[in-house]
Amino acid sequence: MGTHVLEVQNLGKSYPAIPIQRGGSSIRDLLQSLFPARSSNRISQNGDGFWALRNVSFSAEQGDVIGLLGHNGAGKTTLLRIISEVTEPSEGIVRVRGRVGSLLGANAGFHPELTGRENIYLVGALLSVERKKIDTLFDEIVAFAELARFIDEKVKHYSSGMGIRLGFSVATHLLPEILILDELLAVSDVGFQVKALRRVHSISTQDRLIFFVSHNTEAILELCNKVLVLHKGKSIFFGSPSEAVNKYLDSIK
Amino acid sequence: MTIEENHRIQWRELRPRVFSLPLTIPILWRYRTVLRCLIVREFQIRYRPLSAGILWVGLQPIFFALVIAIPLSRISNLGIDGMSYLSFVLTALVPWIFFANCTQSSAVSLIEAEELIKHASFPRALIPIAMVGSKIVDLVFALIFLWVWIWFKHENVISLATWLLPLVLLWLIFLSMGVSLFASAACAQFRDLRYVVPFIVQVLFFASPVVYSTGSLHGTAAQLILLNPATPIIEATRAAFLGTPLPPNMIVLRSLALTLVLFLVASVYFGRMSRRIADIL
Repeated sequence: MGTHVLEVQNLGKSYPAIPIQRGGSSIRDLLQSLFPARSSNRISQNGDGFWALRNVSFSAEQGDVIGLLGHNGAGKTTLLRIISEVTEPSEGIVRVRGRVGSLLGANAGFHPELTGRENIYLVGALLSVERKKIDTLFDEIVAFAELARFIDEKVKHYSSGMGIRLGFSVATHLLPEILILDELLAVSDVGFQVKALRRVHSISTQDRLIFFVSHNTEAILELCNKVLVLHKGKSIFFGSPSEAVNKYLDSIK
Repeated sequence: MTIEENHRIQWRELRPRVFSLPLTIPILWRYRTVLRCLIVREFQIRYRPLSAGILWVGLQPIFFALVIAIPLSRISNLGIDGMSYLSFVLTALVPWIFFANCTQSSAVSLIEAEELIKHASFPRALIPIAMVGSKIVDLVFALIFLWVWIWFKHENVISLATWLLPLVLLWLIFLSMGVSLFASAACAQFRDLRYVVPFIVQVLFFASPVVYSTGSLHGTAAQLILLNPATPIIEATRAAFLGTPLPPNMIVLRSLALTLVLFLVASVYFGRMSRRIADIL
């Protein structure tokens, strides 16, 4: 077992209920919030927004493969976003060591206007990997993703399967200390799923912390040594995979 | 210790922050590779498909100038003597186009980089800064073209203004960066603004002495134009090439101060907004 690389204490994340919502506001929203119509629901304007996460605590070590289970909207992606420093916690503390690389959904972390090749270098730069190292790994990355023909096309033209393949390949070759794999299996075909799972297996022996999010409980049981189960933003279990799966299945009944 | 090793050992604490640190030079340096990736990308858009890409950068101001100058040169009393109206407009167009392009491409830059922002952690200001950075190269090319043109027409005048040109350009970049930061943050927060920006830029065009000289205005119009921090920049650029008078010191100082204030406000606003940006995009 390895050293601690992640500590999450009482983590909470809220989104305000006032019109600064997802998708951005419009000027109309801004004006509306300044001059609310009489019939509008003023209750929504207090501080209590929507808590995507509340009171989540756990810790993880190098070499762990942590599964993340929960219904849609339970807060899994939010948690991972906070750990990747993409967004900030509203309360609590997260302590993390090492670079975090995420694959959150298809075409994740890629700039749509850049080609696959450029994105590989961009992600490498974001992970502070030296350009020379990326050069040496480049061919392997493309080969694993089976994208040699498309590597010089803009990522916005990739199908979601292609995006996942590239993202996964980049992440697992550049190997940041903390690796996040969110919904890897949902969009990829069976062939790639097998390949990917095999690769996750082989990485897990390399002292990385891996987060694995999936609704595929079999894969979770196969790969993970600890599982965190979230339900409506709260952590309802953290521990052995088999118990976790049961808790998860109970929670969604 | 390499950055890699340092990352492995140092704990980072993520907690709700009361205020966020501004983007500093050391941070910019640390992310220089990312910045380079983003800037190089902008180049390739411009210079790859049309190998005339470089030409277009130089031709754009000339095109623009021709479109404006030919009809307007019929109007007298715009305050020009000793040079063709075309050159008059051209020298002002080069800095103007830089400013306008920076503003317009930065405004939508954060919105377009939504995927990247939502999945990777990096100082968000890199996005609009990369936009401005790529336009700087365009500016250099345009200036070279401009110099050749003016020289060719024997209208070049070397004066104090010519030596001051590098400083004026730095000022221009600084102003554009402030406006870009502000525009990108505002458009990320209020999506509709992206459609308003081109309109605002148009208004600013007429509020700047591009097609007329500052001296030709009187009264309130003149006062308003002098409030525009871009005004002395444009006049000074024109002066550097054509030997027209430099703007008075007081105006310059006032505009410099305005530029600085704008930059500070933009930075603070951008910093505050970028903390929430992954949530609001």
